[in-house]
Amino acid sequence: MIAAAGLLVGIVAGVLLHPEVPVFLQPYLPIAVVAALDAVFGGVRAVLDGIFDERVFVVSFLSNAVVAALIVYLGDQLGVGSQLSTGVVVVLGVRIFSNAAAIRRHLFKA
Amino acid sequence: MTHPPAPPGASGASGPVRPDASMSLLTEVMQRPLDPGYAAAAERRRAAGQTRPGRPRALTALAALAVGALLAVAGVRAAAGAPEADRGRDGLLERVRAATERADDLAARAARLRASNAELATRLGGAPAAAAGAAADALAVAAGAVPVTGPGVEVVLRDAEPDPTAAAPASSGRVVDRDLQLLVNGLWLAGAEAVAVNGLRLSSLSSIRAAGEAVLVDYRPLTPPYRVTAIGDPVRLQTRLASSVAGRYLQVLEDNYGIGVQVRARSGEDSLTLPAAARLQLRVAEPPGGAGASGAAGTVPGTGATAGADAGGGAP
Repeated sequence: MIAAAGLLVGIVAGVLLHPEVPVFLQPYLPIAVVAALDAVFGGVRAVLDGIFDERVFVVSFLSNAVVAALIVYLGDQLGVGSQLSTGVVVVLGVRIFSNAAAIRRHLFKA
Repeated sequence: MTHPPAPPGASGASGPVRPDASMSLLTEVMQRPLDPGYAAAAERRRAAGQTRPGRPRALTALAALAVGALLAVAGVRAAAGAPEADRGRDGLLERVRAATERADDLAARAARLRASNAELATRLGGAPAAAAGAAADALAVAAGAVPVTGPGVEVVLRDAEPDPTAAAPASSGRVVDRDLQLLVNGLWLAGAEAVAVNGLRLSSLSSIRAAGEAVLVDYRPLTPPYRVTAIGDPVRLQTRLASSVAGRYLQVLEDNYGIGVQVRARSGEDSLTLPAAARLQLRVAEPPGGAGASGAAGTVPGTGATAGADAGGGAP
């Protein structure tokens, strides 16, 4: 509940406050979004599995975002930024889909 | 993520090598999407004797807040980025419009100042200047320095109607710079005293050119239909134009390409008014009475200070 409230407040704040994203961070924004989504879906599934753990959720969210950004940064420096971005998106995307499927099974039993 | 890649779903069965062992990365990704940390934490809690996982608290709310803000910012940025191209185009159009307006204003202001300058010079200079002024006035019409009103002819060229049966839009039915050049030259040859295209007065150094599909007169883009007005004896202009090369050329354009050519005499109530040419500037000046002394080739002898037409850098 409190997490859902936090999510809602965050979205409203982001829309209303229009925070300026620093230019050097802008290329990593989409990747960070995907990583954050992965953490969120993992957390929701853990809640439904009954094994949710706050520390794991927070750490996995932060580390996911940081590692994803790091990989993309490294790729940019090496000249393969777009390929590595694709790799990150594919891996995280697959995880998101699997977790979403598990959540769906929990909720709808289907 | 830090766990060793144990074969998923095979608890303790480490005996036979799995057939898909070489694809352990893919199976890992596909079959264990949940962060192993959750399972490990649950295991620890069970070992410690806790039965319930800790309730989500402030940290979770904070992380969720961060996620929400991230999503919102990314969404806002994506929404703002989509019509960026359109906005850029609109901005450019707006700037073109504003710059054209400003150029018009400045041209009008320059014309006013030039007129008042001429008047002041005449008042200041006394008789010689007045004589020179009279000589300059005689040339002013030819130079395009003053607006002129009088009878003349008006020739309107229209692009051909696009043929609906044609597969691709044909460009041959379009009026191009060459057509206007020939028509204007024909009008001069027929005895026109002043010529304007779409209200832009031509001087002896004006240019008619094309850029892409647009026709430019003195670097100002024109929009069809093209209205060429010439001051002179309407009857003489019309007959001489019709019998000249330009007249035959117009006939060919009309017959073969479907370009609309409309020639009309304008006189009496209906007579034409052409504005002064823009972008005239003084290029050659001699002190009065010193015409023979300088003797420089290329000056305009005997006119004193006279207005020459600005070449504008690109006139042929």
